[in-house]
Amino acid sequence: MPEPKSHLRKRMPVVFGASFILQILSAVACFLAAVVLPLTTPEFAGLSAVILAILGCLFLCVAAINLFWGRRIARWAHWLGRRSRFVLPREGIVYLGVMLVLAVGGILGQSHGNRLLIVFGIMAGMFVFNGWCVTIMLGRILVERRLPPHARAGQAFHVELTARNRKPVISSRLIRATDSVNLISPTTTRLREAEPSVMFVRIPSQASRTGSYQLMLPRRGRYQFGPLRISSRFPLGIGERAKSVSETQTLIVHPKCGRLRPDWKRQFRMAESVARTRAFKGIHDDEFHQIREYRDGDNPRLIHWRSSARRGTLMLREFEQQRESSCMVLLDLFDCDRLTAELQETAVSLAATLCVEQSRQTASGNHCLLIAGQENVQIAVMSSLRFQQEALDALALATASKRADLAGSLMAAAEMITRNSMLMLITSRPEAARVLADSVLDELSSRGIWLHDRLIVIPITEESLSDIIEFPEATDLIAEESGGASHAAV
Amino acid sequence: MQPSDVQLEKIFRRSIVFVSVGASILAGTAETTGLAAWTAGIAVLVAWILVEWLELFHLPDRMANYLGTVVLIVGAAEFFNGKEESRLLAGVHLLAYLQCIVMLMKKNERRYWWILAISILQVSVGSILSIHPEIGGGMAILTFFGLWCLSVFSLRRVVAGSLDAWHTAENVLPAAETSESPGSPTAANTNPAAVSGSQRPKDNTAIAWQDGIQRDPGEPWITGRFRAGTVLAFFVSVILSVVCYAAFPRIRLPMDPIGTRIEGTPLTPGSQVGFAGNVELGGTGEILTSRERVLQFRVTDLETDRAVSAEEFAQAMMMPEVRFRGNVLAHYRDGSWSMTPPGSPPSRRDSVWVLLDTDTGRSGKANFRVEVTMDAPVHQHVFAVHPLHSIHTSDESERIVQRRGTSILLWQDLRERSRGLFGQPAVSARTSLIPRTYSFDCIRLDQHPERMFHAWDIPSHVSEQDRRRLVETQLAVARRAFVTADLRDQLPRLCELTDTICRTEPATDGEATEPVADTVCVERIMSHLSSQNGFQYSLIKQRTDRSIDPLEDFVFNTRSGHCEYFASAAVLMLQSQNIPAVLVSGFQGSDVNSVSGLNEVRNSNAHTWVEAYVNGRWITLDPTPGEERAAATSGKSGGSLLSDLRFAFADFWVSGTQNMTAERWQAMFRPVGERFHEIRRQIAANGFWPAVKSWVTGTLMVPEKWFSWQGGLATFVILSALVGISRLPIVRRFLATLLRFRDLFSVNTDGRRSIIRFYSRFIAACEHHGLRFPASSTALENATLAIRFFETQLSGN
Repeated sequence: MPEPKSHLRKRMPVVFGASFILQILSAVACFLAAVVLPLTTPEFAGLSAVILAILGCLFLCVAAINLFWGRRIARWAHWLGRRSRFVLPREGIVYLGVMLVLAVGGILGQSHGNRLLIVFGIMAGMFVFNGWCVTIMLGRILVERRLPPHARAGQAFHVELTARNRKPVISSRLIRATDSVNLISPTTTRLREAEPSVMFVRIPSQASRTGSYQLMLPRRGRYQFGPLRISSRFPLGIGERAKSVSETQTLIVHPKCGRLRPDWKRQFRMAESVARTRAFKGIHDDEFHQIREYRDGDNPRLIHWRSSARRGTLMLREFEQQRESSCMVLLDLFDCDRLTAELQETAVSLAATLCVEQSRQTASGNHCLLIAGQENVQIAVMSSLRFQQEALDALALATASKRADLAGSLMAAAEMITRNSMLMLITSRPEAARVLADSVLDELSSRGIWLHDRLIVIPITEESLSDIIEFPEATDLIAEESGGASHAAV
Repeated sequence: MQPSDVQLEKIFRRSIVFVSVGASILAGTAETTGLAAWTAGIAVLVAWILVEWLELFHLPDRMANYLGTVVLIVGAAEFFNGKEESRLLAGVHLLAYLQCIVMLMKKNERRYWWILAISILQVSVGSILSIHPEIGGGMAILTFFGLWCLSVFSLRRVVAGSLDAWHTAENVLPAAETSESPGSPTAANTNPAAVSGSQRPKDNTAIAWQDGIQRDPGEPWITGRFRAGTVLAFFVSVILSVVCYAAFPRIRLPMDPIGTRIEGTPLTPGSQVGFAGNVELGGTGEILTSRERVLQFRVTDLETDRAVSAEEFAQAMMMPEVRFRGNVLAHYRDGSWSMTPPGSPPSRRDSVWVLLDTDTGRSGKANFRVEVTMDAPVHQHVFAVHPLHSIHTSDESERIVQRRGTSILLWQDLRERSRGLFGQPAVSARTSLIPRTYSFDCIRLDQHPERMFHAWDIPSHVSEQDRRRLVETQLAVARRAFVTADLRDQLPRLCELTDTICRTEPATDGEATEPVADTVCVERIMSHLSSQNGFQYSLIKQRTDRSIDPLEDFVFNTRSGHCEYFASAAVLMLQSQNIPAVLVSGFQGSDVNSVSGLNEVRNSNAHTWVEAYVNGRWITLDPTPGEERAAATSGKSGGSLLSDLRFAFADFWVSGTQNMTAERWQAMFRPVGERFHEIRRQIAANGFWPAVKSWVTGTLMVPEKWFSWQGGLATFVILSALVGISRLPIVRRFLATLLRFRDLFSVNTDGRRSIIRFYSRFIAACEHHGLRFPASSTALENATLAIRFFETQLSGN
């Protein structure tokens, strides 16, 4: 059975926790002692009774504060450095309730009260023992988290937790390390906090154990992991002690990558072939690679006679096919009404897919990504791997804005564009963007740079995006990219 | 599921059924006896066998709800129609029904908790219903199995929680149907294929996760270490439980509708074998075969304030063994003994008691104090050594009185509103199921033999003439009170025999025989009942001629019987000679409990002897052959170690439950309070640190205080201080330095550490080159993986 999740408790307006119950019980005990004890023990009369009554009032006040502002106080306490707390699960609350009934019965019962108090004592002894045990279990336990370098939205990955028991003798059992995963940026998206956990069944003394949990983050962005909370209910499960043991870490989750539709790919190649400025470099538009000895079946037109004469044997010019085409991606995230969160995510995913495709097809070249959003981002890197990394990082954090500077980005793109490059403008304002692009391109053409036929405008609408990109199931992606995840074991 | 998971599930189910069956049997035992006490337990067991073991069926939820409603109605009807303890029994029955219903249902985690909660309530109600130490033993056993069950339950929750389910912040998705083990750490940690085997969340608006479990491969859930830990946990829990129980303040509110009814049952005639108003001859034999303990006592020499053994005490009191006097019977008719002549109303003299729980009017100083605890059930009679100087009870609601004439001691309940015949509070007519404690003081008789039977003593200031007249009066009174009136009609043969024994030898001149003196008569009767005349001790009740009185059958035919026969014969033979004599029942002899060190008197120590009024004094006579009695009862009176342990536990139970009154609780903690007041005064007078220093040094310098509560407190303070100091950062750094320094000189440790260091470096180097090892693989497997990996790398280059 799954553990009850803490988010269910969050919905409650009040915090009905273990500390509250204990404070109420303490208050009742103080009042009872103040009123009844002087009847049987005169030493408790006078000042002692007053002190007990004041203590009871204080407990009541603390319980009331805890009831209504308990969670906030817990946060302050955590901020102030108090990192340990005792949690009473539902079973523990019922257990305490039965104990309370027995205690009351023991007080009311004149002759059989002692026997009820024996049952109460047995239960109290077990409760105290459990509290003592969980304190020991958590003593000198360190937990470290190891995150993958990056993750991709919608794709499961493992997070490793290593627990080290530094106690000299005693093993720790049933230690649950609960992580906290929260999306911190972009702040436009709200996600409920997740609490994945790893249960360490036994950590021997002076040893460490490593476990992992799986996580699938639905959205791109920067996620905060932590603080880690370790807890234990061992052995009886009627009381839980928990403490925070680790600082926070962040992880950038790249946008979801899809698959470009074949139709669109074909159209794009046609447009590319029309627009590309052809430069003769080899017999088949290829680049010279090396000179080697002639082999049977080689094209005689490729024989390099000068080298053959020098070496005394036929030498052949070898060319390498050149299919690289530079594609610049400009993502314009102008915050308008029609740019829903879903569309925005799809657009970012399209940009990411284009960047990934680009980096896959060409090992080197002029890779370029521009983002016009809350911040203008320009990434122009020659190395495809580095470009992919930086582009996905930037896209992970891209945020729509009403101040998106498309003109500036277009100008920057114009400066970086090469003869082979295509410029793909993904925008949420296609009409305005086209007008703006035309004006910029006209200005460029006046300077002798003709870019009109190399601009492809992709409007961020559901129809156009669905024509270009598709998102297969995550399992297919995993199968496709097997070995791609950084966590994959050897 | 893995085999170890299946094994864990089995163990858990057996544990929980054991706890529930045990709790049901405990509640049933507290309610009734015999097979009926096992009914609820058997029903729960059968339900478990049908549902869990044979898996024949299980009760649907709807049907369980209907049944629960019916059971509630039945319980309510029983509750509202019953009175007092019947209402409590309604609760017991309701719990038993509910337990059976839950047992018949299909179980989940919540229902297992229900079973445990009902079990706790059953134990609680059972503890109310019964005060027997066996209930305490049952509770201890159930505590152990409860601990075991909860511990196994925790492990089971881990197994159940490790299902291959995806959680989202909104809900939990069901696990996929995979052939792989749900909780397999290997699958979860290292095999990416396992990722695709689960049903993933379709909703892409929430974070989804799958919890992990780390468990060493091949390690079973229930290990020897786990079992040993549970046993240790039990003992620690018991100690903590005792502390919690003892520390809970005893605040008694004056409302207890149930307890008084449960703990006192009316005394029915004949409920006390050998110690009732009318006793059938031979009844003592029934209790002689029992080894149940009756009372335990401790003797203290008041002059030296040291414990005295039972033998020393008996010697000082001029007894062969310590003899506790109980009932006194004087009149015999048709095989039965009674206190007063049958059919006659109680005389004023028999109903007048002497208050003995004060030293006022007593001359001399007592030498011994005997502290006695009578085991339940406690009847009317108080057993004490005779003569006693004074007697005391600790309970203010009752006192002990001595009946004038027979000097028997009886409990007098001051709470009883009814009055006796002459306006005095009635003696306790209720058998108490709570053990009673009292103490009495005695003057040693080996130095003051004249004090024997002082209740009949004549003051020394009385003149000789008055003394003679008083003796005659006393003799006349004694003959009226302690001689069976129509004895010659009842037992003519016995009287004739006694006459023959107690006559002088016929003179040669034909002079008629004359009765001899009382002392000679006593000697001859005692001599006649000896083994020389064929009388022998036997616990077997024998009758050869049922047409005659059983006593005459004993004297003339069987000549075999136990102490009651011998004493009865002696009493009646003395009474036939007009010598006042009574049959006294009590206990003689004791054993030392090897566990508690206290002297214990058991039923097998029951004894009957004779007290006769001879020459103006009451003397004790014991016609029973002592050696034969000792031989017959030696095998039964002695207690084994198991028996001693049982009685020690019973004492502990009674002392801790029944006798733990609010007053006793206060008395227990009063020294602590007084000591704290004293410490507070010392701190106020001398300052904090000097006072603490003097207190700690004062405790440490006096070895007697080491094992007192003060020593315990001082040890606790010192240990707490040491723990606090050891947690200081500077001290921890110093200790770590010391440990490192030690490691430098430890070759073995260094060797081990060098291997570990090498392995750590190896792993780090592999990771540096992109090879990461699974967490669950061994060093050898890692090495194999590394060889393959680097071979691939090198061949690629």
